Amino acid sequence: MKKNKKIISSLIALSVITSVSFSSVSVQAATINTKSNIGTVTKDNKGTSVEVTKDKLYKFGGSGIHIDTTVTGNGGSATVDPYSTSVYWKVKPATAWPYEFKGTLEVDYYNGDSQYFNLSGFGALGTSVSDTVELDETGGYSVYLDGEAYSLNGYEYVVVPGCEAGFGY
Amino acid sequence: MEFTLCNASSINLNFILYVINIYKNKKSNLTDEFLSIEELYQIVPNIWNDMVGKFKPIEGRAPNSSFIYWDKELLKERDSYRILFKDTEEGYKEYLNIWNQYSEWWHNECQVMLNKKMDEFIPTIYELVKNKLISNKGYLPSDNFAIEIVFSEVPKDCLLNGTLFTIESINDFCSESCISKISERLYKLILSKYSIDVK
Repeated sequence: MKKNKKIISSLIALSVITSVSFSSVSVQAATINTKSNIGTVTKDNKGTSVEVTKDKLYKFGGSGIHIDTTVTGNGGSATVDPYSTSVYWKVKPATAWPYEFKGTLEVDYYNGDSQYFNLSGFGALGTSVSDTVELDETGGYSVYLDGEAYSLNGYEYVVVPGCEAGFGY
Repeated sequence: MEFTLCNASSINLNFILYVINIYKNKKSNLTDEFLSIEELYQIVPNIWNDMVGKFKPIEGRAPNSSFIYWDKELLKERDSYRILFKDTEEGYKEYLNIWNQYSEWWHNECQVMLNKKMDEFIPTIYELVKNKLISNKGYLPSDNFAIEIVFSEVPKDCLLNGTLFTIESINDFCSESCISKISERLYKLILSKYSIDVK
């Protein structure tokens, strides 16, 4: 019985000290993984205390980097704009005629999975072709676009420059 | 490899400018978490030039892979930007608050605006530089270059170009003559990379 009381009082002391430590930490504390913030546990005759590692109490927010970019080369230009659940792409081939574009978009998730999309579209002279593809997975990824355009008169063929972008860490 | 030109907008370089703007807006009202303006201006060129100097071309899948990889790698070290604030717990907290505000603004507004505007200009600059290289030098380099766009002026003593990119403020994309000057800077960078006399 005595032993149980001791254990209970130690647990109360521990929880009080821990909650006091956290209560001094602004609103950001709600987003903290408490396990990673616990530094050293010390025992003395007053009980057990837990030191909270202060640097880890504040953290970077946001879902991470999101890079959209355009590459221009001899074959025209290509744009990739990645979002959390979709990717917008656009190409403007350098042809002197209306054209048909065929390309691929490769999404490599940072968890090791990949997803491929076949892209196609017709464009009038001097215009671009664009679309959005929906992703199967969420989380960080890198994305790569490449493709070719054929002019509708059958005489021109250009390779659109490849374009890479990324989302998340 | 062919000659290509990418638009890029580094989240890291632009953060430095964002912090400078915060300092400027606060002016004499700088609280304990902040350095003095003088201290900030001593640190900024070091941190900026160090970032620019870290750029290395890599063998990537796309012409712009090096620029993406560079910015991603810099981002991993973003904790080092805490030196733009007081070296105290409050200073660090302020830094993280500002980074998080910046990150929201960057992804939702600034980057979108910069890239939209740049999509209009990059093909024009590409053509100007390409034509000048062909007519003056008779060939095109097999390299991937970029124009790194920043949302305000580059501070004094900060590098205005890396080995394969120039750094340009979006405010400089205002007229045909401005575009011509930007093209000229890129042209000179390309020539200097190949140690060709600038004409």
